[in-house]
Amino acid sequence: MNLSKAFNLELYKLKHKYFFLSWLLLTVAPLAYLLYNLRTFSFSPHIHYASVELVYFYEQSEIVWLLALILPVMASLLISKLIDLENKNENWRLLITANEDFKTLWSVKFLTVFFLMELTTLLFYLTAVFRLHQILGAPIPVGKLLLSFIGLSGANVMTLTIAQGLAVFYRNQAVVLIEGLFASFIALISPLMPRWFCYLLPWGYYALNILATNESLGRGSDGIMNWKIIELYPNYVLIFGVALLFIAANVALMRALSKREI
Amino acid sequence: MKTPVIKTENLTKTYGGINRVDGLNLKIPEGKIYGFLGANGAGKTTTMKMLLGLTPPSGGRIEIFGTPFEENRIEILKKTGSIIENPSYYGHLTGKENLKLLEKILDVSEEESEKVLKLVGLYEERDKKVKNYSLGMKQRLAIAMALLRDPKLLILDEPTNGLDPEGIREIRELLKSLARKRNITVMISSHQLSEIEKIADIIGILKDGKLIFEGTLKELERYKKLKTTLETDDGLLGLEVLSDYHPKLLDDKLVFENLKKEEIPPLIKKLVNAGIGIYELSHEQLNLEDLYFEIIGERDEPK
Ligand SMILES: Nc1ncnc2c1ncn2[C@@H]1O[C@H](COP(=O)(O)OP(=O)(O)O)[C@@H](O)[C@H]1O
Ligand SMILES: [Mg+2]
Repeated sequence: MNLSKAFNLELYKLKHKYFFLSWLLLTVAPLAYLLYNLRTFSFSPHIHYASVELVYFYEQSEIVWLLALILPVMASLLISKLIDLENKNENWRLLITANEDFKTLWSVKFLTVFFLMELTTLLFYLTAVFRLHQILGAPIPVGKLLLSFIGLSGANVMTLTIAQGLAVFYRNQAVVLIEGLFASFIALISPLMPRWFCYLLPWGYYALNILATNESLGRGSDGIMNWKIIELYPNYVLIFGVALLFIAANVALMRALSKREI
Repeated sequence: MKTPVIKTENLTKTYGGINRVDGLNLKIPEGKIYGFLGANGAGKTTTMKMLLGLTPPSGGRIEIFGTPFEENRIEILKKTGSIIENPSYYGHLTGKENLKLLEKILDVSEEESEKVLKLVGLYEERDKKVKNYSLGMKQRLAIAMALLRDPKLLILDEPTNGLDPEGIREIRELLKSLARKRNITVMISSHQLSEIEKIADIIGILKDGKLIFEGTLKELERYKKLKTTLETDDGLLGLEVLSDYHPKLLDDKLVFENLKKEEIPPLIKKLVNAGIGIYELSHEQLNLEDLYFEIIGERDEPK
């Protein structure tokens, strides 16, 4: 069973399932919000950037907030749709007795959703970066942005692995859907939480990829709060290390679940 | 003698320390319909799952088409169609689309799909979504899917469960003609003898995971017994007085097995002498259905 054939089959099964429409809605609405925000972008005299790079980085932190909100829900919703196709009517039995391999099915389903999560992440990055480039005319700090993008991909791997495991293990898809909401909540609040909190929970890893934050400079003579934007340096060794662990966990989970009775 | 299509040696499955399938030695010959009988919970589904690689055995060996299952799983499954418990299908797709999907998986042509759809009588309904099919239609679709790979073996777990008598009859005729025309070996399970006795060449009866009978219906009939039932005004006393005849007390009635006609008058005399009143006596041959329920130790409400 080769992968491209397995992808084809997956697409065929998704007829009338509003799978891609769900993705589109989850992506387009927040993307429109982002575009609207950027359209009205203007420099405030109360926010101080030490360099033009920091403008990009600060905007990146805004995107990560949005993504942290959307991606865990997206992971749960989409993987649940793909897994529930087979959970219903014990279709695993139909597939396995027709010599389809559980590991191939698992991988194809993972990769399909992972690809869509990455596409959403990428669209956000491109939209923000190009719009800012238009406004600022300044060179894009490609290297650091790219690293943070890869870091976010690591968080996507973690989120999706957990969601997929739950979707297969618990027939009742309410479990994975509620987990998705919970995960989004954690991911959303984690930038406000202490670092150790982010390190401990897989959904905290979105926040660990944030490239800039603000620091209060106190009120100015006009009584308005002034802010300084400061750069953050994500610990990529740790992020990639944990992501790799999750890839290993994903493979182990796949092996274990392939042996379960169906 | 030809090698059996399915052969198991000491096949065992343990759940939570209990042998739910216990040392099964099955032999299913080619081209026959094998009726696999047993009460609910006897272990039929578990056995069939093991035969299809859906759950690993805890012990024992499986050979299908004369080769060990584990080593030839892929080749064996290519020639084996199956339904376990309930039909599997994608409800949001039409009947035709369900078969199309399987066509792609199995690498068979569209003509094959049309052929099996006609065979199970679903061709006219092929463009309806399967979730709108009746249970009988879903069962027939599942059979069509099982037939799509041109199987040499069909493993069908209670394929007529929940169907009305007409639906049961249709599926029965279909299986009969398949076994005959295509020389397909069929293993079909049921908890009702009546659903199977008209098609099975051989039956195996499973009880608590053990095979307690394997043979033809004719051979099973040899175990038919005479049953004599006596209703009296004092069953307990009767039990004592007639202890030489080894009766059982069921529903306050005395039940005797294989009592000869000549033995009845002296027996009644004994009761009368003991002052026991007799209401009713019946002396009859158990039918096959009764015998079956007696063997599996359960009386199902008749359908
Ligand atoms: N996955 C499982 N875990 C634990 N016990 C099981 C499992 N599957 C079946 N059993 C038990 O094994 C016995 C046989 O079940 P089954 O094979 O479904 O019987 P049948 O199909 O003859 O009705 C039952 O007592 C059932 O509860
Ligand atoms: Mg069963």
